[in-house]
Amino acid sequence: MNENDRAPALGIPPNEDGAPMEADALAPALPPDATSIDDPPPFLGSWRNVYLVVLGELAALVILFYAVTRWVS
Amino acid sequence: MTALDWIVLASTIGFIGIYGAWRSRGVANMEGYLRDGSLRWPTIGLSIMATQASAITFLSTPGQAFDDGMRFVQFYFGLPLAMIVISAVFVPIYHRLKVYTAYEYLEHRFDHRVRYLGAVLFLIQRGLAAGITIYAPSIILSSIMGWRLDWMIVIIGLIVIGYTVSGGVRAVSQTQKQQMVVMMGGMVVAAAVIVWRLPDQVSIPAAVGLAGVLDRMNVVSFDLDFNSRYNFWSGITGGFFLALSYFGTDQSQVQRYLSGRSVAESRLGLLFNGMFKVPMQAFILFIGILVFVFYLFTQPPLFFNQAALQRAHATEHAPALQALEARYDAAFAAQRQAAEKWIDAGSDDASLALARDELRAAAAHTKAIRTEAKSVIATALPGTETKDADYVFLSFVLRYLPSGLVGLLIAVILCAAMSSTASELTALGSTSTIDLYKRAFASGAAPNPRRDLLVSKGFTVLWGLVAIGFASFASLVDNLIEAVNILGSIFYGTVLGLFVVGFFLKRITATPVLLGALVAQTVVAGLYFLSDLGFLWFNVIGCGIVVVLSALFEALRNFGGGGRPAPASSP
Repeated sequence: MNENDRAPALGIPPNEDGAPMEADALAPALPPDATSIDDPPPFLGSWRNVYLVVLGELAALVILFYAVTRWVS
Repeated sequence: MTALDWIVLASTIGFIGIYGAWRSRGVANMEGYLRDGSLRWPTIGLSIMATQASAITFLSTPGQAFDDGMRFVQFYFGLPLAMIVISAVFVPIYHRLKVYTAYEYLEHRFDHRVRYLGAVLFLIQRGLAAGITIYAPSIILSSIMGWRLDWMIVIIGLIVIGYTVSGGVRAVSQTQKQQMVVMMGGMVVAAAVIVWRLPDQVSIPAAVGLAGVLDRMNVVSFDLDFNSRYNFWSGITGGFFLALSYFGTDQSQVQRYLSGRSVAESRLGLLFNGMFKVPMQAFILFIGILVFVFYLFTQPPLFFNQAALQRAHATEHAPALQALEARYDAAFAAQRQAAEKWIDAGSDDASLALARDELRAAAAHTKAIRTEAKSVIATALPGTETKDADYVFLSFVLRYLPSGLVGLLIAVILCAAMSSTASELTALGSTSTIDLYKRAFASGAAPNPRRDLLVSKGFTVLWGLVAIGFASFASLVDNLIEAVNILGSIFYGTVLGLFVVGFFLKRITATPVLLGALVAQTVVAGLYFLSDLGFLWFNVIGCGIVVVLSALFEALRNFGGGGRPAPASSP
């Protein structure tokens, strides 16, 4: 799933009755260049891939640190 | 400091200030002053990192590793996850609504009351924190260098106010880029000098091994122990919540990535921070490890806050301290001998085990003498902070770095203080202007960009003076740094709860979330005064109470037929 597809829905404010606003009600609040939110990253193709790289680096660091801890002990 | 140190220090700070003023020339309206909107992701990423990296990061973190080992790095494990959540959820919403501040979102989503609550909670805790950001390095630098504390506070404060007011967000971001280069460059040079000063027989792997024998290479622990402050699980959960609230809802950080020219630039700036923060902290901690190993072969002072030690020597407790120093000399000699024996043991398991036990016993003995000395100092100088870890790194820099590099490292500390304070001042100024002044007093007035810009600059100056005033007053309060950290944690949970409900619980309306937030704030304040709960838990508890009570109040309201709330006020 391209996470850009779900991002706009998360910010739709409800009205005071608690029901999500209709698209028409939200439209005036949107700036004309709102479509830029769907821009892909300049590398790796999709935002999901960029996030996976960040997660992969974190996992690699934790493994590396754990290996150092074990080696020294 | 030598003349060369002063030249390096003055030229580094001067260059950054002039560069920032030059790059931010022509900022003539509030849009450019409060939300640049033209920055690329490398600048945003460095600006985010520079904002978080205060002077105390560079002073305290090596000392933390010296005292307690590498395990503090686990505290940052939740940060990359928080960067991903903020990039995927928070950033598109902020950009879509074209907000100047995070708290504007709260009015879009709920109403003006919730916005005021979020803004005021931010102003209280960040206004006090700005004072600490100036005070913390000033007290340490003044203590070690013999400079006047009040002048240090005023000079740092005025420099930051000057370039922040002249160029706004653009000046702050541009100078932070240079400041980060100076900060990391200075730390790399410091690491190289420490390695160079280690004895010939101590290679880097041997240094790591020695640190490991003395329990300083405790980088990662997967033990699920709630009494342990730093382990993988507390880092990945508590660190995640803390980073989510700090980077997602604190205007001093939100303003950094809202200055991106597009959503993609803002996201990449945050993810840049997510990728480099953990390695950066690990590197700074490792410098502390190298200093620790260096001091296994070169005798460190009995107490690293030398000014306090000298004051204690001027009291009736001087004979006790002199006796301790004599014992310390002998204990250190034994410890050094044990460390050399461990190095010489090579790969023979039996010899290594013997040398390891001997080294551990010798290190425990020197530590016991240092603890005894701290107790004597506490008796001689009531009220003096006896935790001297913050002084370890700067004390090393002043004693063992060559001329010129001392000036560079002092510049690193001042850059860090200024970069954090500048972000805080622009955030405080913009929140005061946008969320309070324009919303409450000028919402119906005709647009007047010149007046708005002047008001923004006025608020920035005002908060700068408040920060200087608080920093000057701060010495009257005990355990100030901890007090302000506790203060931040008391408010962060509630503010994060407002945003979590706003983003994820779309059916909850303004009044239930407002009531939930007020109850949460009261409960957290009560926990602070009436319990011994660790303050980091306040972030999770505050957020949780807001979410649960908001849902409960909303359900009760609908169940009781009160589904028609009070009309929403217009912005």
